[in-house]
Amino acid sequence: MSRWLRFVTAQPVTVLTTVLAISLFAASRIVDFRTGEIHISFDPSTNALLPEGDEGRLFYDHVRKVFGSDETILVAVSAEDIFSAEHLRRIQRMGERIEAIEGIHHVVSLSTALNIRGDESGLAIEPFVEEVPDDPAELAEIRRQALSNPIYAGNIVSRDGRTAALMIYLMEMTERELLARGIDEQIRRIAEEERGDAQIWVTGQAYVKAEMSRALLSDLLRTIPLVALAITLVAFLSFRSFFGALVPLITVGIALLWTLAILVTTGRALNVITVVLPPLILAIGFAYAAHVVSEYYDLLRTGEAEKTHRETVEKALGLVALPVALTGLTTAIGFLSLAISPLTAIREFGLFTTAGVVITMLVSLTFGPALLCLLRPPRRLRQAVPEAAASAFDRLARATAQFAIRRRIAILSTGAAIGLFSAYGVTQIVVSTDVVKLFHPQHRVRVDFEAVNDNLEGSDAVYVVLEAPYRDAFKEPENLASVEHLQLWLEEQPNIGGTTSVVDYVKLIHRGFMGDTDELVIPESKELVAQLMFFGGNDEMESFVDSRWQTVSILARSRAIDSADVTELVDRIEAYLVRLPDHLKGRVTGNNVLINQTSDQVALGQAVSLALAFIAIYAVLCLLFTSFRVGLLALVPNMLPVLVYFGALGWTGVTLNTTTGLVACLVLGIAVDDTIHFLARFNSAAKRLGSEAKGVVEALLTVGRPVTYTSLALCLGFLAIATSTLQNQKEFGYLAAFTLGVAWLADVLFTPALAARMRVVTLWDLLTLDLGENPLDTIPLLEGLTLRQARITALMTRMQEHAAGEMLWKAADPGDSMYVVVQGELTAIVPGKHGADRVPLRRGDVVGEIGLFHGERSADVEVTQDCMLMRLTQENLARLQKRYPRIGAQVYRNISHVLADRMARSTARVR
Amino acid sequence: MFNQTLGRLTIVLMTGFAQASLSVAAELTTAEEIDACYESNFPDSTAVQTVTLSAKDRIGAVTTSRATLYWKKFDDGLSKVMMRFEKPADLRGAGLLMIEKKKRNDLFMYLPELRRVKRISKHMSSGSMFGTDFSYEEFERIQGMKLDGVSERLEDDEIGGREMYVTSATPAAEEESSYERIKTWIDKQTCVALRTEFYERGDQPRKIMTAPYERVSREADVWVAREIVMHDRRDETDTTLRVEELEIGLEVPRKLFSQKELDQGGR
Repeated sequence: MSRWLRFVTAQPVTVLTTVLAISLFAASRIVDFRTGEIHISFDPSTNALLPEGDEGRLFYDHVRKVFGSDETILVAVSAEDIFSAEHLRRIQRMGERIEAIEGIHHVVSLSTALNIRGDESGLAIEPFVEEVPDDPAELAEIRRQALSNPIYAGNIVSRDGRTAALMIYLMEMTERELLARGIDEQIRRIAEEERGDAQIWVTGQAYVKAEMSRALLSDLLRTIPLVALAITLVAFLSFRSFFGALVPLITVGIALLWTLAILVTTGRALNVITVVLPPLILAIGFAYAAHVVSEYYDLLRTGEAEKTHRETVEKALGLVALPVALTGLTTAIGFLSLAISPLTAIREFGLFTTAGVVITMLVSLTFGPALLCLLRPPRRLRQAVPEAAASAFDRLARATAQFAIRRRIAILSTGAAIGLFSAYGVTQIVVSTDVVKLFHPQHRVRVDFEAVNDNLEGSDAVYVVLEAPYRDAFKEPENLASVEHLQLWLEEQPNIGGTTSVVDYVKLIHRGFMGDTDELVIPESKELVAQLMFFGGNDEMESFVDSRWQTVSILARSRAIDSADVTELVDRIEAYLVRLPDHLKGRVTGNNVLINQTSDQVALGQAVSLALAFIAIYAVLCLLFTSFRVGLLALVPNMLPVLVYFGALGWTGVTLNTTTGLVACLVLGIAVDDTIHFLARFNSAAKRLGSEAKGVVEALLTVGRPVTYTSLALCLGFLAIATSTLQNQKEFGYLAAFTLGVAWLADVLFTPALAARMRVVTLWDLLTLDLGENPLDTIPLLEGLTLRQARITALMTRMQEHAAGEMLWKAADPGDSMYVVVQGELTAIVPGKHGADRVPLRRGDVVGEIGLFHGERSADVEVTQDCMLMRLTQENLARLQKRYPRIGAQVYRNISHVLADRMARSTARVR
Repeated sequence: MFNQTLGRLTIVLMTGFAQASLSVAAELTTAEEIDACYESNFPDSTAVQTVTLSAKDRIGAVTTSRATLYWKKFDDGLSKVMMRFEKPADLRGAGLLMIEKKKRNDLFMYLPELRRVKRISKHMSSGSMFGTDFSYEEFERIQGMKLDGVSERLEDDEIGGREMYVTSATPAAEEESSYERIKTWIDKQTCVALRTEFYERGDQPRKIMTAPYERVSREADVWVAREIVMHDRRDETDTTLRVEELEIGLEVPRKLFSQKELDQGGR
């Protein structure tokens, strides 16, 4: 790694050129330079929220193919008397104009819906209103017939005769095509133009989704600049330097460019979930880039800069490279855990965010430092003043660290209490996905949806599909009777406004053909059904029965808005369907049903993703700190914010859905970054200063600023997302900001409180500690250990450097430690009968063992050559024994051998 | 452009009759001449066909019915059609009677299960006939029932290497047709319509009807399209009509084309 670090700082122009060349290529993938066309597209389809390959999804797709799309747009016209000539003409004109729009399959309204009736002379199947009459008696007759028609009363006309609906069926098209053609906008415009003094409501699944897509796109265009502004402000606040702010901004900009290029190259579009990807990458990426700049500025500020500018950047990069790499890894793990989700939208979110995080990390560790090499440091930092007066921030950090150490028990107890409180909140979580409720209660979409719900028999629908094993099964009266009974039962259920099925048409055509009765009954023979349908069947029936009369679909108009209500309704229907005759199989389906069923998947997916993320991050922490116990301790401060988040969901009633469900993995991945930065810095400081408490203070002083500013940038970024018009985006933004705030608190209070009693050895330490050649053979104290164990021993004790000429101690000085010479030479001056003996002590030799056990030095010891010593005290030996029992046992055994050997030689001398 | 009876334009579409005596090698120049070419494809008096209708839905499921169709032109130049169904079994004996009138044609159906004859209302004529992609309106026209309208000749075209006349016909408003216009490709050699496009509105046809030339055969000095496919572009469904048997000029009694016969003949 050091070679690579040197390359980055030694060849900054090469690095910059390479990065810029890749960026240019990435830009060319996103934008066609010749035409200016942008290749990033938005796919508003909610199919990405449905599990791929799921059996329910496949069935739904099949049903759509057989019966046509269930995605409609509904225009409701409301007036005092909708059956007036004026309003009927409006409805007729509205329907004709709407049907002329390209992409409209057909429109069902009072002017097109077929009135099936008959008399002695003939059977008439014709629209209720073909030519609007002016005669009041004729209008009254139209009203009577419409309101007594079982198919349309409550459906395309309210039972009180004040509201009429135009059901607009679309040609098969993607939601993207719908949006591109602006069909919903055209429909609303026509409705507004033709309404006169009537009230107009526009709703329907296709319409709601189109509005949602527009809102998401509009949010995206607003939040990207807002997030950029937020991180710019934070960058200026943090670095108080134009270039200092510019470097992280350019870095995240490049990272976003590359990530979007990958999106485009893989043929994917931004969807309803990944639409937050751009502002997210900007916010998260800022943290990595800022750490690099912050470390560099700190070196300048505290007078620890190297002789040359390039060496200073290299030193800063050396200090921050591994932590940034590891934090990138843990954040990526957090997002990658979402890649197991069965929902395409969440899976893509996980994968592309992971890619963005990794790219940001790489660019932060290459482009950022290279650019710093070419830029001059801020004037105020060019002449560093060592031990400059502490800033207000430093004073606050110091005070916070000391508070965390002093009140350690109270802080940990409070954290535990909050955790318990949150855990209870978790049990109150409601899992729910409500598309309409994404809109604010006063939003036009929601108002119209609820108005139609109130005035007609339901704005939404579920479909109960019955299948028989043979052709023409549903021409048999017995099977038609089963359908009829099911319809009657459905209409008794709460939240079901009305139903329509092929049975309604059969009965109407039967009555029309008979002509001499008002009764609506199912024909008595299969042959009669066949003949009636042969001559009287019409296009409208295609939505309710297939061409083989083997499958029927019952439309149940639903008033349920809450997905919990929909789920409960579906459960009840499915329980009823089990009671059907054996040869009939029934299922409930529909777009709304499927989306609500994914709620369960969301909850399960969340649990699995989080568990995976925790396990993976724990593994990384264990590797980093080479201890399962320390890894777990490091994980605790990160579990707390996640627990608080889920608790907040439960306590506030915000539902767990496909959007809010992303927050936990996101926060976990980000929060653990700060913990790693802190603990890594704490470890090196504690070893160097010889005290955990001092290590806590220095760690907070050093990483507190970047951790605080990056958390601030992230929070502001998420708050920018919370300015969305959509409730789920608002909730996502607020919750993420809140949870990151909690994570920050945990990092500045909880983690220091935990660390104050923690001795950690990091992987970095292990990798970089040099014990010279063959330490296991040349240092008896390390005999019987592996090289890794030897390094742990050295790190858990203390390594010290001493210069030649230094007097290590004098005889009779108090002592509490023994030393092992790792490099260099000491000389022990042992008083003897014939003057002082000068005993050289070289690599592997032990000195001061009497002081370790008896507390007083027995001879002078001076440093003859520059040396590196391993210092063992009772305390660090005990800690070694506790943390690494096997290593401790072997070290004690070796100490015993050394003492025994010393005693043997002393005895030999006396003899 | 001049007024033409649409029924004559479309008679060839279903039955595909063509009169061999026309000099097909001679190039027709006006829409009138093309129209005359069509009209010459009608039988002079009667025709009896056995037809099957196979309707295929969106997922490829096929429903088939079979019927015998009697056609007769009367002295007043108007025609009548009687259809009697044989298959499927639950339709056996069901019948349809079409009577061409100067203003509005009459349609009657017979249900053997009820033993009743019922008139069918006007609007039904634009709806699906027998669950196929043909509407009653199209079927009426196919059987030569006259409709008024305006026709014009368009630029010639080619289908499968064969040279075609192309005409566009606009139904008169009083006909209350479902279609704004109908565009037809007429084979220059046989005067059989090999392609017809039905436009409800706009520049995309709602339905397209085709007759594969390899299924056009010569029967008693006339050209007959033995197979015709109607494709509904909006619903993505197809119906194939096949002429299984055909006899021209047979003696068919007048009384066959009455409500009484529609009723009695089905019992």
